[in-house]
Amino acid sequence: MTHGDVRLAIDIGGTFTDLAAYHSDRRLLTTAKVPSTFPDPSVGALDGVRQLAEKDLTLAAISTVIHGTTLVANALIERRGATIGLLATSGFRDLLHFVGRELRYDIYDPTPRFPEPLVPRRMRDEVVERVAADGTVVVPLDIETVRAATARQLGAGVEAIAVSLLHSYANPIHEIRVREIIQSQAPGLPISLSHEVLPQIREYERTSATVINAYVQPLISRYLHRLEKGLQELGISAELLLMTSSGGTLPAAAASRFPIQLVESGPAAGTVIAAAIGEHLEIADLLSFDMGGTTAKMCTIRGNSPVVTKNHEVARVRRFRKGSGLPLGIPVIDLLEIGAGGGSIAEIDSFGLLQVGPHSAGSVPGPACYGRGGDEPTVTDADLLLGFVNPDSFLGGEVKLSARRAAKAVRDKIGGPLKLGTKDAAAAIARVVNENMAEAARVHAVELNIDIRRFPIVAFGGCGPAHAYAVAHRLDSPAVICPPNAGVLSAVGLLLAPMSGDASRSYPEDLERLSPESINDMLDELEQQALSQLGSSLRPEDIEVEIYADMCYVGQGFEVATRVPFRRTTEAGLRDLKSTFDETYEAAYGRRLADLPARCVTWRVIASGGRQDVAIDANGDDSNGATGESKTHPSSSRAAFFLDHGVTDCPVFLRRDLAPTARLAGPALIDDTACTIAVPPSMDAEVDGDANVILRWRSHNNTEPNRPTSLGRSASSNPPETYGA
Amino acid sequence: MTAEGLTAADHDPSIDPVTASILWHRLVSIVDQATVAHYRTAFSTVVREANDFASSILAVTGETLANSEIGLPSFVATQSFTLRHFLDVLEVDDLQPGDILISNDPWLGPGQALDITLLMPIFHAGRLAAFAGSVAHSPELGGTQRWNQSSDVFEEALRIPNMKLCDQGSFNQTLLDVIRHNSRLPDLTIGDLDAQLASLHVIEEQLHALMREYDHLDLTVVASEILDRCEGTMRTAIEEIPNGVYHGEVTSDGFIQPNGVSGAPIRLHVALEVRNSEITMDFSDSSAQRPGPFNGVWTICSAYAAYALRVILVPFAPNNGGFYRPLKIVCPDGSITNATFPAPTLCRHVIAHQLCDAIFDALAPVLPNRVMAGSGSAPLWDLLMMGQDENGDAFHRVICVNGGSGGTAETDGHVISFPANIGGTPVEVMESLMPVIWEKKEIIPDSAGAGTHRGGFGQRMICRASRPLEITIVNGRVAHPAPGLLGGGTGRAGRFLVDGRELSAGAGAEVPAGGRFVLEAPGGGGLGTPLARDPEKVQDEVREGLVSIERAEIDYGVSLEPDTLLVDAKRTEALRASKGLMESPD
Repeated sequence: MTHGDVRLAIDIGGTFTDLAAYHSDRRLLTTAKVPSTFPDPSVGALDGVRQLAEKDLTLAAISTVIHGTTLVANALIERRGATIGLLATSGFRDLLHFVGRELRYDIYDPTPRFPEPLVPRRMRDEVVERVAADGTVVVPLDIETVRAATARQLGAGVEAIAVSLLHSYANPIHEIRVREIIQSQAPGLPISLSHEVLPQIREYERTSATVINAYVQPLISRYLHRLEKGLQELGISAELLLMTSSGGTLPAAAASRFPIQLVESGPAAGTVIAAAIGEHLEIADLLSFDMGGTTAKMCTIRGNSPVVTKNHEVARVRRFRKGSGLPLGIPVIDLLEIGAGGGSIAEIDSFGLLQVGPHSAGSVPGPACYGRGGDEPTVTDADLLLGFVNPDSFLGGEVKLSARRAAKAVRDKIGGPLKLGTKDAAAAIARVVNENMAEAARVHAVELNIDIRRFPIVAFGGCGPAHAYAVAHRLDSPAVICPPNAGVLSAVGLLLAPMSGDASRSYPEDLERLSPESINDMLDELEQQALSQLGSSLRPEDIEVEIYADMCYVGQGFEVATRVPFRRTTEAGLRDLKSTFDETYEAAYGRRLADLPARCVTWRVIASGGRQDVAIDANGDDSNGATGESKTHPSSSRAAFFLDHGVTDCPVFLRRDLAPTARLAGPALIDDTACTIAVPPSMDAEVDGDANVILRWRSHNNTEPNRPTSLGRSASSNPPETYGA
Repeated sequence: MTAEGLTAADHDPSIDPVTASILWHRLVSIVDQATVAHYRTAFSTVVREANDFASSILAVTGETLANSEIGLPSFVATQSFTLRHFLDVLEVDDLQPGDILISNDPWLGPGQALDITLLMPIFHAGRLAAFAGSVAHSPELGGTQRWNQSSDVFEEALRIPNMKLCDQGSFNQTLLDVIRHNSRLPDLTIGDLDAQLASLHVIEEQLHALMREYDHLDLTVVASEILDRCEGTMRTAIEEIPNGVYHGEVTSDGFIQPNGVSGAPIRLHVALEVRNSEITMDFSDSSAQRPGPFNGVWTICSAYAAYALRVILVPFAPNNGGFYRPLKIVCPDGSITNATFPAPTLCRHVIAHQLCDAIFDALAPVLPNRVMAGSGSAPLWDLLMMGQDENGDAFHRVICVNGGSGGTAETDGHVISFPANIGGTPVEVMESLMPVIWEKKEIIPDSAGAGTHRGGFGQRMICRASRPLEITIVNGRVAHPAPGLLGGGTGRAGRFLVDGRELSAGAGAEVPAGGRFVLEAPGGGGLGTPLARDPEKVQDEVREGLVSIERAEIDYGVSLEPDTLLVDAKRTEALRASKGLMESPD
């Protein structure tokens, strides 16, 4: 085998490390699953690579290694980062105390809590300098104050320094000079500059991002260094790329400098899968739906790309409450995470009403049916009673489930108080949790300015395929798609990740006052930055560059990301930009305010190398039926309780028996290794050429919603929107 | 004027608890969607940055059924007051599909003529099903730009009659022209009104979809079911409080009056009577109304009083009118809690915000684990700045500043808004909008009231005007700081200085080019004796420079070695023992 034929993906999660290797010449996917090893997960990852090598992988043939990890998020949640210092503009070292811009995230919580700053006040020093909003230097940098602060912080044992000066996005000269001074005193010390981490207006958010970056940098750069070295020792000389939070990739060297880009590296891979499936099926807009043990994560895919947000937070004090975490500011795939998973507990609240989640029984004690001492009824208990879980092969047969315990918990805690039979109580739990997920998705869609009705759902996770039909019904979704390789899905997602680079800068100015020269100079710089983040394996002709400007009408505070119609501009080009913005705004809000002047706030250049492809003929380990005879005879039957249909005796199929083009009519259950796909009486299922199981409503086709829509505007033309100045 | 809860209506018990739970979530979700539509299309900073607005769904009875969790807590109750007024004066046939009602009457809405309430009746299958409601602070509606100087309501804003803004789908263009012609910023004012309309339309569309989905769902039945349940939960919580009359009070700054002199301190007193499952809050024993605009109005005062009870008795749940049924609130005419028309009321929130502290003071002996000590953010500080920018264009900006919230039995305070929920504006955004440079925005050490759980720290801003400015400060807790509770200490008082000169609450001043002004927002009160605070927490805050070594000893009885900042356990024990004796001589 020659160099360049194999792509290797390594996905390190909290419990398992999944590996997938794609041999493009043989159209072959081989996978492995090994336990994750902490504190040094590179050990487990390298073990997994050795396992793959023993199977059917020539290490020298690997052209690219793509890596996803939850290490950064965990370091922030568990506060395992470095001892760091912060240098701030004189008068502003306390910015991190002005949590959440002084707003309470829950007006009915009398005892709000907020995350402690990652850098204590005693490690924050002020330097004398000042830049004004227009970038002019008001107070020159006093170098002595930088030297003194650096010496003091080094004496206190800092392992990295964050520098966040006011208006550095408008003029970074002082931050750059501060770095030179620190470097001269402490060569090699990691330094994070706010104008590089998040070159955007709003000091609290920019400082937060810079501090987060500095906090995880020593840990991540040491780890990546170990991993690269280990891979080299195994004979892999390929470039190491990291999955970023925005669904692209970043070379290890860049990731070591900007580890903040990796915060949602793990979950991003799942959404990349959904986007890739959509591309294969020629569906541009989808909803990715990952329902696991404690949470459900949803992400909207628009135009074959996951929607990204700049409002992401990490390490929330109250997990599902916006405003209770540390703001990241950088573009992150817009994951909606809600407390709805298999372990979510059902209870009767103080109003006498049924609530499901966000409290979770976790895996210990877990749902009542685990028989590990849990006696609270959970979603998994309800699913078991409703027939949506195979009691004998749950988690690959690892846990034997007790329907008796599930029934007792549901009867005692829910059925009794609500005067419902056990089955009806279980159905009520399923109904409420499904509604919670659908409702959250709807509000989220409004925040994104997207009408998600008619978006097919890509369902995965241990509970996703069992609940997807009900969520699809509530959201008027035409189809549910359950991808194969459920056990190592994120690793497969890494294989599909497009290489991309992303650079942005705030330059808030009325459009009328912008000069083409200043815009072109800035775009030159941003494009260079974006291109430098791409891996070295791309050919220049494969690289696509897109430019966006976050724009609003003068006076507004929320911008619409507007696709800029030029690479470099003239006066006339800027006038065209105004009309492009008017159109974009009208598509978003149904109104055009063409008389009002426009303002540009942030410019963003995205360079990408296109999505990778994984076309599989044969499937090494996790056979999801891509080969062999089509067998559409059920292997058994179970009673299942579909919402709105009651109890049905239902044929049960094994997913591994279903070959491409297999079709079956609901009601049916399809047991997979890690989940059960529920096909209600009103849907049919079919297996496509990529081994996806696709559920469609019998009464209507792909393009027509089953209920009238009321928003009366096109879903496809709405742009993503961002929050800025 | 009296705000009294409606009695529960008879209802069809045909909605089961599971469906009720689902529908309640749906209604809250619909309002959340409307809220998002509102702030994303708004122009003014008070709405889009500071959060000065709210949306709701109201029942045909006038009670609020669901309101947004973003937005101001007070507006939920005032929308209900406004709607009930319209329902009282209108005939049944007066309301038609496509109508939108408008009001900016302070005595029917949130107490300030700059707040516009819109209400839209929603019909389904030929019947009135519910109302959509929206309140927002208008960026400009005429009237004085010096909020501290109005002498009656006519000077405060254009007075819009309570009327239809839209009649069966046709907008009253004359009214819109009048509004436009009376605003100094007509594009912003009309643009923000349009954002309010956008939020109403989201509620209308989504409610129709919901009713269709549930086969012409009768929302009046749903409303009864949900509101009855919330009423029941509130009553159960009230029943846990022993019957009796509890008195609470707080002293407010007197504020600059139209004669230019600061008024006498204001007494805010509540007699809170618990009788079985009902509570009456009577503010009759508070001070009388004043000539200047620092006067409360019964609507906003009732709203904050009810909010204070609701948040400590039934925390976390979404809000609606059911919680308010067991409450009766008395704000007598002519008192500081309900100035009589045409009294000026522009700064009514300075009174309303502080009422919460009087209520917590009253309930502290019986609900020590629920109440919150005095908030340094009550009242919210508004700083109004006027002048001309470098291009010669006039500007007028309002920014909001928060102090430290009060300590509770579980938590220390923070620099956050309470009981309002209005955010600060980023320094970089402010500097890009007006010719002012912020030289500092920092925590004020030793400003938090000491306690087992301390208050939040106050914050200091030092600003330099690049061009001449005229400023007005609407503030408080300058002469009378945020009180501690249950043995907790008082927060540091606020200060407002212009070129080194300290001004009283509610003052105005001219700042020359190059001149400096300083805002020091108050610290929050502490809760519980500081002697019970964990010495390690005190030590940590001394290390952080948030508490001085002197105050650690004086306030907390924690003695630290000056060089190492280690706790001197012996001396601390002795100090605390002797201080404990002083604190409780009996």
